[in-house]
Amino acid sequence: MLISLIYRDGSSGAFVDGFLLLLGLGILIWLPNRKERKELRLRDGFIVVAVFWIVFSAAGSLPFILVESPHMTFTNAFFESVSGLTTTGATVLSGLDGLPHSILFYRQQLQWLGGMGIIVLAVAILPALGIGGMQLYRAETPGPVKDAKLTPRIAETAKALWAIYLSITMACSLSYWLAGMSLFDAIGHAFATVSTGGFSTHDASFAYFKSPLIEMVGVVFMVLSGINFSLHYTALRRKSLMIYLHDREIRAYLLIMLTAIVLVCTHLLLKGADYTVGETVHHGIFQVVSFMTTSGFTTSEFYQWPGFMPVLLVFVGFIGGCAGSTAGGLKVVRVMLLHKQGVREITRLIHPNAWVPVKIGNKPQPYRVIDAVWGFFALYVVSFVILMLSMMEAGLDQISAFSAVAACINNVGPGLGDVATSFSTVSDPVKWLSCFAMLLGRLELFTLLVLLTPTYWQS
Amino acid sequence: MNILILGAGRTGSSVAAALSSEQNDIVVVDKNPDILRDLRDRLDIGGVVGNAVHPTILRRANAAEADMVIAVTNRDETNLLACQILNTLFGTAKKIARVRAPDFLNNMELFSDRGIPVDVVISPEQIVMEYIMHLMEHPGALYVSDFANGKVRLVSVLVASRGLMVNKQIKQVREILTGLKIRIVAIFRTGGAIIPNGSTVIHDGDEVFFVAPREEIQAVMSAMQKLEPCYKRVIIAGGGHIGKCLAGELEHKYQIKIIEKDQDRVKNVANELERCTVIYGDCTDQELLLEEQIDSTDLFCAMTNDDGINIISATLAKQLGAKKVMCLLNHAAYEKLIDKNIIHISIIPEYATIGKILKHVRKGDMRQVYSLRSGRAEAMEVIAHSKQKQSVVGLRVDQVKLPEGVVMGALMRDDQILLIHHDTVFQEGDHVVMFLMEKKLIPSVEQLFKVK
Repeated sequence: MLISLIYRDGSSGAFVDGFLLLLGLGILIWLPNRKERKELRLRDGFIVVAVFWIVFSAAGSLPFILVESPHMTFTNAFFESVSGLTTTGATVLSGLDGLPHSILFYRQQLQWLGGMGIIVLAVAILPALGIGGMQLYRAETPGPVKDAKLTPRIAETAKALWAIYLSITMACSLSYWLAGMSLFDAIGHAFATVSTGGFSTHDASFAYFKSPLIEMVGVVFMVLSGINFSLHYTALRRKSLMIYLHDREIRAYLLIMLTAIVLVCTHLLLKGADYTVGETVHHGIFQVVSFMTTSGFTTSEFYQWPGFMPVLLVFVGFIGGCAGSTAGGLKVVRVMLLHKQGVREITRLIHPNAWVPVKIGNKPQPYRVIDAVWGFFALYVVSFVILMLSMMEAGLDQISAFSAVAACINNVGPGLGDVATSFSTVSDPVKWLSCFAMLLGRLELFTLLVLLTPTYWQS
Repeated sequence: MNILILGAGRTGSSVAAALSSEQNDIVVVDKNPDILRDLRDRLDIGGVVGNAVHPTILRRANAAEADMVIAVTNRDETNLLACQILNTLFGTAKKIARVRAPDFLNNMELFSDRGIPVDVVISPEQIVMEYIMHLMEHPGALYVSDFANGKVRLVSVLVASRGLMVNKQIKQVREILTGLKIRIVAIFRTGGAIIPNGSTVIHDGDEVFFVAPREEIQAVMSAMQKLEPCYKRVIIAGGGHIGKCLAGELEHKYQIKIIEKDQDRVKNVANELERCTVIYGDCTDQELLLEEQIDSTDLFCAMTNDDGINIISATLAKQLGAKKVMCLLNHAAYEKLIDKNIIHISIIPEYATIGKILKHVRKGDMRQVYSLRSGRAEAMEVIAHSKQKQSVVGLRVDQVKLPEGVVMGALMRDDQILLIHHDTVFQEGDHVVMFLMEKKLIPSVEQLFKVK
């Protein structure tokens, strides 16, 4: 709203209307329930978080509906809002450069709020939640180990996370600005970079700036945002970078990233896309990092790259960032655990009597975690298949459907085929399916799927 | 405050629960990951699995930043060693340890900076025992706690219809009890708490909390209800740690019978105690109770370590004619199940223990803190100093902004008990006894007495 006033673009009315409408609704809901005082239980955590995300997405779409330009239908507005909050970064808008600044800023801001998690923010600033906060936190944070707290008290943890998030964002804005963006673009892109969202204020995304320097700044901050935030916290507290080096997940994360970069770059060079060597390298690095951290910024028309490369990019998006980061995807640590399980089965075939614990670093992982990872993976595959089939039924071709689901459930953003640049051309049912996929991906399946089981509702 | 709790047993969990609701950073260390996970599901605390005396584990539990450690694992040795290690490695400021074995407790000179560096030794059994002995000193009282080295006591009684004070206003009570330094600090009636003022009328069935000098308590109680005669014949069910110690303390003043069903323990109790009668049998056996003249017993104390047996035997004893019945409850949640007309007094060790710890957590120069009414209310004795942030020293009582629900009960100055009037002026070193109706009032009281 402030931005709208600063730039005098005449869309502040929509924000005011939207705000008043929500305030009114909020009070209406709050009034009959204000006397209720109950501790949140574990099961309440799921419903509160899931409902909160859906309601917040709907609420977030209001300004898009109310604003005069661009004129958006409810479906489009909801899609845009979900895509923003889940830090997916898929869009139905085009002609971004011509839109009011306020709307552009609002989109970036949605991503920023969604990045670390609105619930985590709520836990940080609402002191009254107490242990209830923990239940909510657990239902929202990504990663296989849900109750890892940085500090004994959950509110302190949430505050620490947001403080780190805020400082990385500020550092990122500053770096962009110094690298040559306008202040507006710098802040906007910093929001979308650190949240690994991928919305841009320009149609051409990062290609608009035509500056390798800006792209490299983007790469650095995307990599940082794809790292577990509790590691940032520990590193800051102990003032030591060794923390990063000792962490196995980061090692794997960087290793996978590096392998993909090398693959993409050599392939681009050999297959002779019309880039110079320098261009090849920076496009290669940027695209891989952007996909792996599930940001989804683009500098080039990657979907027209030759051979397996576009699909490879979609696949690194499946792996995603580290647990506890703002990135989506399966998360590196889960992939590591799955891989180690596979290796274990092979070892067992060779030595039937061997006792082979699954370790990360030197730490054997509890069975509970490994079970949960398998469960997660299985549900992931099933959800993926169902969503993809539904999308094909709704009219997409196979490549588009596959990449659309991958882009949404991993919160990457751009896909291939029809959905390579934007989702504006697809039909409404596909958009709704995508919204569901995005929420599913952001809340890591369980939180949303728990609500669909009959056992949850039997009480 | 950063608080490290070692041991997630009953005491550890209840301390963690009480403290975590008050803006403290709490880390609990326990060997059992399941107990710890359950606790972390319920409370907003940190948890570390491992042996509480290992430095690596302590370091992981952020011991370096802990302001206070509460060592309440189930072994005295672990608790004491943990305090020693924390002192050596991290210089932890306040060290509280639970110690059960009487052998340690009888040699308190052990606990010093030259010996084992423990600042506060807590023995739940001893606390419970003292509490029961206070209750026995004032038959009819539902609750008794000591302030000002035992000179002043906070007592709660049920007002009976025959009492002198029924249907009288509190200012009339003063006239009835002229010369006595009594102050009624709270009244609990079905339907809620009442903050008493001069015109509050006392009803039949009210539970009244009052503060009075120790020697005047009997006089006040006789005005509230028909004074019960002193206990003489007492039966204690359960010859465990508490039962045995209690019998040992009481056997010279009362006629004590102790019932225990474990043969080894029976022998042990009988060998150690001089005068009391030790009976081998089951305290839930009706015939046995009748044989031991339960119908002419003044007080029946169910003190086994099994809550179920305590409730059953206490109920049975009451039905068979015991005049007064007391019951030990290790699970605080069972208190709700108890009918106050059958089991008159339930004793919950965790509430008794928590006060001793709260005393060190509360900001200000606290002498005593007691947690009352299942932890919902609190009574405290605090010393006023002029160096306190918003010192009350030099102020008149009516100038001190006390929130609604905080009542000052008594004041001790140079070992003299004074009754607080609206024009009493606080002086340096005054001990103030206060009753807080609700826990949420604590911060505002702390504000007044916080030491700079």
